[in-house]
Amino acid sequence: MHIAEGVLSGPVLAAGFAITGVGVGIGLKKIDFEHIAETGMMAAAFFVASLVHVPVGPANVHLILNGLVGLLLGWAAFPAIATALLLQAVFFQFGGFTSLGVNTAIMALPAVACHYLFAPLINKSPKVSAGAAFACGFTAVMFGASLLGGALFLSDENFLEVASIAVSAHIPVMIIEGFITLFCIGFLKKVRPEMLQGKENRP
Amino acid sequence: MNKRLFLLLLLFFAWGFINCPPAKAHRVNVFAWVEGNTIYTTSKFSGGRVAQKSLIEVYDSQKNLLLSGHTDNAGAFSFPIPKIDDLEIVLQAGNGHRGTWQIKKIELAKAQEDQSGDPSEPKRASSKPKPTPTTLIEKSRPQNRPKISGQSPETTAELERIIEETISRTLDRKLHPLMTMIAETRNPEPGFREILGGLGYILGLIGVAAYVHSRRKSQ
Repeated sequence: MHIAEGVLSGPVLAAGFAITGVGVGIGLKKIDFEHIAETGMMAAAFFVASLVHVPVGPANVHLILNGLVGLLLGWAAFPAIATALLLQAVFFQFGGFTSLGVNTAIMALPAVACHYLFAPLINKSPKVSAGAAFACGFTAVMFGASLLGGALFLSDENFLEVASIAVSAHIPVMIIEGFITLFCIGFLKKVRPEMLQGKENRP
Repeated sequence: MNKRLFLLLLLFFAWGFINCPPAKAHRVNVFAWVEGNTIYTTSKFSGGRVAQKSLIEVYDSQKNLLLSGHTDNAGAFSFPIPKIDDLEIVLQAGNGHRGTWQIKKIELAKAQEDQSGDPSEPKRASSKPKPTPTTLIEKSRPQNRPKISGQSPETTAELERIIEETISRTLDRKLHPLMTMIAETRNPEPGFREILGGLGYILGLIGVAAYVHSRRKSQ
């Protein structure tokens, strides 16, 4: 899901930086002292997740974990994901510096959206909660893939072709991320329920 | 309770580490080299999976598109040298994946000189060892047979050229597997150092943020 340097047009890159700038600003304002460690932990998880390859089909896909990050962090997902992507660009040469804004927006916008959609359901009955967790992991990747297709389209590529490839290539990841989010939320509920409490009040 | 959370995170990171050598991700590499009058390219995603049926475009120094084509099932694509210029080979592997490789003008000029001694004639000898142009052989043979020791300077030059050509062709053939091997190993992967480095930065940032917050609190 990382777009390389030199693929996108100037206006798309600029729009990406603008969205990311606003998102990071809001996110930084929302992080209070108690949530610094949590944000850092999720950034670290996101940073490493990209190295976990999903060996399905001909496509070249990897874990993203933006659903889980968004569910737990809300707007703070923006600074967490931006930091992790910057470090991935520096250390792994994934993505690029000029496309950092777009890449952050592609992965963090769905994270925040999924927070608003699914966080209120996490503390409901076990069945609802499990369904919401799965849907959160699934939807975040699907949104991200659609945004990726959109960014490529705006930079002069055939949208239908690009978007359908982007989304279909990520279907295995959507399912796997759904299960991972489901498992993580279930685990946190048992082990650290306080991490999930009040999520709906803290977007 | 905290211990279990810590254990989970540890397991997760360990999983990441174990997965990292064969990990395949979102970077493509294209590697190109010159042999004779042909440029060979091989394209791969980081992690080693080849980029099949991906678009390769070749640009000159003025960013004019010279030619394009698609990689085969092994991620390979080759073409005759289109122009003696600084060439940029761009691989578009879809979904925003893009890799580039530069071939310098001097490298092309040299390769072609070695091959034919005539840089203005790009399409003569290609990757496969073709028989020497018959005119050359015919020219040199009748003069060679009668006098082996006292050749005229012309014939010597001709002979030298033939030998040079034969050697460079043979070398190309012998070097091809080697170059392919180099292309295969040229695939820089993120290792422990990069992963630990990144995690270290994140830890440091947490520290800085906590410090700033605590300063603000105490003031």
